[in-house]
Amino acid sequence: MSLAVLSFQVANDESLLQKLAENFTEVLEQQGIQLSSVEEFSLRATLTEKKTILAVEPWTII
Amino acid sequence: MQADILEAVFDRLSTTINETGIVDDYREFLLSVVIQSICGYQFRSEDKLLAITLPELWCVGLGGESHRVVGVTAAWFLLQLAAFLLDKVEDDELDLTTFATLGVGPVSNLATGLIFLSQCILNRLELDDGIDYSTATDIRAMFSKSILNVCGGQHIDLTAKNCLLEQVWNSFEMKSGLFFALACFAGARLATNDPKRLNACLEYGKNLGVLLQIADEREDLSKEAPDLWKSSNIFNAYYNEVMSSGLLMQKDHFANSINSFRSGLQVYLNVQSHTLWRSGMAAMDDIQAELKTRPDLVRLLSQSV
Repeated sequence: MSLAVLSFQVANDESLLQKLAENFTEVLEQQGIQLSSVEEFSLRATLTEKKTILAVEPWTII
Repeated sequence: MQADILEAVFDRLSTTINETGIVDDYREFLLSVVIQSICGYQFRSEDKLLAITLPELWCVGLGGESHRVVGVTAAWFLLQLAAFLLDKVEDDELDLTTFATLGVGPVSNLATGLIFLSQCILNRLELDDGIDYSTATDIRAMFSKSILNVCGGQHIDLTAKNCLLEQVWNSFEMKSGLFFALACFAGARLATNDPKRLNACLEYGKNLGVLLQIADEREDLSKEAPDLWKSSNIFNAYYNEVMSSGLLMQKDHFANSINSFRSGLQVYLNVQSHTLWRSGMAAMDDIQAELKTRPDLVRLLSQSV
């Protein structure tokens, strides 16, 4: 799965957001998504900015 | 710094226009457009650092002299203005600008004049800015090469049908990334001939340019205007990629509407913006020397995310 498709899921599937909040790395592995470390950081930052799952997992953004 | 460079650019442009010996009507027309554009810049500069400062930031940042950047900044500014006008003509969006009443013909001719005015200024870098011939030649060559590639990127944008996302990113890099990389190079080359540093500044500029392009796309997506979204290559490429993944057949609970694609693309562009920001920051780290203007360069990058 590509980052584009994952983004679609993130934007439209609240259950996936919840799963990502609980275990980011494992969910990506389950979905067969391979991101570079920069892309992974960016995705975490985006999710945190959206505040959709911030209450569950307060990721540290440098 | 910003107000000073705007004033210096305005002086250089008005002097050059007045010295060209062109017919009065066209000369006054060029002058009025330049004044209007500089005023527009000054208005926007109240709360933002502007891209027109890029040559100076890179020149001074790498230890060069700020008074030498006026010509390259003025030339780049003119090309930016010409590109804006031509883009509006090519996209049939002239009606959305203050140039709407002029019509396509005069605006195209105006843009052509701005391009050659830029060339006049670049031809006089040695004379007006005291730049040595070798440096000026490198800068002129980079202007020609970059702008030709920008035109190549615009060509893809205008003619390609059913682009893949990768092709859209390539066109963004060419039409926007290379244009801003040019501004960085033009300033940096005045301070150094070190390929490593010049490559780093090109990388910074490329990431900034694509970031700004994304910012435009994100602004369009923030409007409740589905026809506007659907008219963009990146929206169509994104739509095609999601549809071809088979995701929607498996997950029929997703709202299969244009709004769901808008939301997905917003997340996707947000992620890409962060990635570009980090790459731009990393490019500055690659300089491996004191970059005196780093705070402003960081600010320019950050205000575009």
